[in-house]
Amino acid sequence: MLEPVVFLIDDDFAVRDALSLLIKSIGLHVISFEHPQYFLDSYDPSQVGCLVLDIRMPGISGLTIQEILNEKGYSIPIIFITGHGDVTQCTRAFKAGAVDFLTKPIDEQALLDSLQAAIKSSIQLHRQSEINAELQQKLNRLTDRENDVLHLVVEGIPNKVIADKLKVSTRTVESHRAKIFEKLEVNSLAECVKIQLTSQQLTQSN
Amino acid sequence: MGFMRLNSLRHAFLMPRIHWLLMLLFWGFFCATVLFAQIATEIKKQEQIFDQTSANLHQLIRQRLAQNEAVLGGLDALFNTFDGLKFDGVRGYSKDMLSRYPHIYTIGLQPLVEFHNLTKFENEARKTIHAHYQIRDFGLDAERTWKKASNRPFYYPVTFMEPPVESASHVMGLDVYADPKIKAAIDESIQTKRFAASAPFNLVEGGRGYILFKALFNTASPSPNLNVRQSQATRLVSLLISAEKLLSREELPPSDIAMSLYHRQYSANDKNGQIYLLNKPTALPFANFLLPAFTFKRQIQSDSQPFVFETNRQIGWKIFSASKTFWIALITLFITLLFSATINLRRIAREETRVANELLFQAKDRALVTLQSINDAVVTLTNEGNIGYVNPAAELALQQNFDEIEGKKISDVLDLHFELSTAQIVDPFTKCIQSKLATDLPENTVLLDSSGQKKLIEGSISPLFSSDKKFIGAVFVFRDMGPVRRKAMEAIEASEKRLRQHQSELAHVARINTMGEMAAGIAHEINQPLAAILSYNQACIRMLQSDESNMSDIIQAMKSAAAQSKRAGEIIKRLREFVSKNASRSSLVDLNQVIHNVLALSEYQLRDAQVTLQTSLESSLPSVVADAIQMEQVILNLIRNAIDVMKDNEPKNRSIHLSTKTVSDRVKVIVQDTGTGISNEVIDHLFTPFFSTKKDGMGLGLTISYSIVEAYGGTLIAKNLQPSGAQFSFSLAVSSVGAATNLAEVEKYA
Repeated sequence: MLEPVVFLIDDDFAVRDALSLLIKSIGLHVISFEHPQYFLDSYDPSQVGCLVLDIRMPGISGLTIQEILNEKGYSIPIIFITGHGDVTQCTRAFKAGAVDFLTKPIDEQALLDSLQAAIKSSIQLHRQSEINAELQQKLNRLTDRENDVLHLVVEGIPNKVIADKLKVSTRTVESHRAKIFEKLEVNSLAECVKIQLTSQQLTQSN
Repeated sequence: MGFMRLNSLRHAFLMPRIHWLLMLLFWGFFCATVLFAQIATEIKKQEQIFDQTSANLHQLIRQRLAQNEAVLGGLDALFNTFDGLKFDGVRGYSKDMLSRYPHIYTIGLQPLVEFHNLTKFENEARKTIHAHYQIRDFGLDAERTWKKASNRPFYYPVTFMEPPVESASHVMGLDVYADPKIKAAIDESIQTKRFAASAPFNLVEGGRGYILFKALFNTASPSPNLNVRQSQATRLVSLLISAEKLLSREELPPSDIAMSLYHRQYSANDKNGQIYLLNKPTALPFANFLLPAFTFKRQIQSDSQPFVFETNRQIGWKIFSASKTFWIALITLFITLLFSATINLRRIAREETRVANELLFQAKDRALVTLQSINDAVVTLTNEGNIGYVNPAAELALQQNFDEIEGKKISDVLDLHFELSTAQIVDPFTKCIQSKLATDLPENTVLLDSSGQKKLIEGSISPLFSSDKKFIGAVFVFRDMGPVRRKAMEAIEASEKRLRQHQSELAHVARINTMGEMAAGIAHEINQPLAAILSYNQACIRMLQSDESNMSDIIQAMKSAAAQSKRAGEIIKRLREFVSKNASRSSLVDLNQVIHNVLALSEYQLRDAQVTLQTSLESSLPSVVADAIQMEQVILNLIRNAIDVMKDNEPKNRSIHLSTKTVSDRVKVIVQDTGTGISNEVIDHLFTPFFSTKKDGMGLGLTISYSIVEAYGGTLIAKNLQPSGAQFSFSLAVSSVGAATNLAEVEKYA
């Protein structure tokens, strides 16, 4: 896993410079941008890290950048910074998944806490997506017929009923079941259910 | 159409129930009258028929009775020529008569037989008449048995009878003189030497009859002595009359006419006297009382047959013909309906006329009331231009009473002048009457009333037409434009004033908004360097605390922080410059007026926050040199702060006191509130920029206010009041220059 990076976007040079210095002094790797477009052009979603974003910038609002990132499916955690707190903006930011909303001048401790939380969340997200990818890979091994059987098994329907429903013999259902267990690399029905449910959640969130 | 007619028919019968009742009563009465008249006519007719029938019957009976006498007279003559018991000559005549007159039952001859000749006569008769001839008696009414005649001085036995009926052969020899009824008739005939009729009796064959006798004397001049004459009456000729045969079948009266023929010596109801009774009258229930009965009664003018002829008829219910009654009821009903419909329609028409008149009267009344109460002057003119009517408003405008001017020419009463006109003006009244078109008064028409006062009027003259489109005059309506014009001017002024006020309010709001935006901008500007400074400082501290600190980095950061501090200072400086730059529009300002303007602006906020406002403004306050708008900003700011600090108070404890006064040569403005006052921590930072106790405050209001007041040579002072509340005050020097101060001089103060 790569080292986590803090991306900082603020149009004011002094603020950008001072905050970069402060974050560096905490011991984190910082990459700062004067304009959000530069960040969007160079961002690699597989990079673990977080984004510190000024809300009020000439030409483009921090909230708009958040929307763009969400649309692209980038799940990088965002910490907003602003000159003066505005309840509407704050609400909007949190609704769109912001980690924190800090007002300038920024309290050091608050920034530190937020950064830690954000990076932790980023790491978790990456780990989860890896697991999901693995899971999906396993599920993709199943044939269509096995998939049908899996759905019915997960719903807790007995083999006999499944056989009736699919108009095959109980023996065939049992053989499908064994294959599914083998392909999904599980030993129990409980594990099978867990994989199926996680897969369903993923499909829904996507 | 059919519907219409039906509807109008229904309309005609739309009447109160009592009318229907009256109509029914009327119908009943009407119908009864007609029915009565019809019945009366019918009865009259029936009576005539009855009288005619009765007279005919009487005539017939009289003829038949007269025939009896004639036949008997003939027999009398015949028997006088034939003597003895030789009847052959008579028999032919008798047969002839009997066949001609059916009511003559038999013709008989009875000779006088004296007792001493009895045996001789019987012997003689046995030879000529029949072998067993014997004189006998018979109880005609009582015993009705035959027996040998008792010994009497003389007899009148039957010796001839025509027709010679076999069954009645036993009648031969009957002594007719034995029966007292018959004896009386025989005696009478002998006495009177004329015909005599016996009392009526029942015939053996049924029915009633009587015998008509005529005594035949053996001498031409019978003795006046009755006893002698008795012996001279040697024969009796008799006719037995059967009453039933008096009338032939065709001649019988109709069944409803009762006829009776009875002997005069008896009463009408005596059965003994009854000769001929036909159609016994039947008793009809009620009819005997209600309907008339006809009676026809005549004596038969005959000495020998002294009878009474009588007919009766009782009118029965049959007189009422069902069909006639029905038609009468129907026709009278129809007439009654027609009659009541006519009356009802007239009643409705009358009612409608009454309602219409009432409405007309109301409309007229309303029109008059309207005319009398409107403010416009109304004058009606006849078609010759004379005054017909003037309403109170017109009386007032003309300063004359209606009585004085009624009938006068309008041009004599109305003194009109047309001012400011360039063209020749035609008299509008003449124009209207001639053209028969509505005519407006020319513009700027002036009315000179009787008191000589000029009034600017406006109005029009409209022609009046009757309902048949005939020109009947004109109506002139006008109004005094003086008050209207004044009101219009006032309204224009008021609206202009409102507009000005509104514009000025807008200007204020715009200014306040600008100030707010500016403040927000400044806040952001200052925030940026502050944020940077903080972060630099914290970074430096971290770097200094860490082991691997790079000195040059730290120095660089410290330098950057210093630069940011300078940047903040620059911003503050720019702000001051901005404030002082705006102070250039100085003029003489009445601070009382400024306060009034501010109160107008904050009126809504004060009311909304339920704050009571008290003002004690010194009258004729000297002017000061300042920018009126900036002064408004300062006072508005102070009032808003006061409103904000009292938010948590009870509404009754929310009060602002605004006052102005002259202190030596300065004008002082004081704003007091009843809030919690200024705390010790706050009081030192009160005028510090960006310091605010309010959650969403910028912390610039008081700073700017302070700067403004300072710019005009004053100081904004804050202090706490006892027991609670705060006071903000400032004072500005009274202007030493007059109202005509020019701006150049004023600028020295700025």
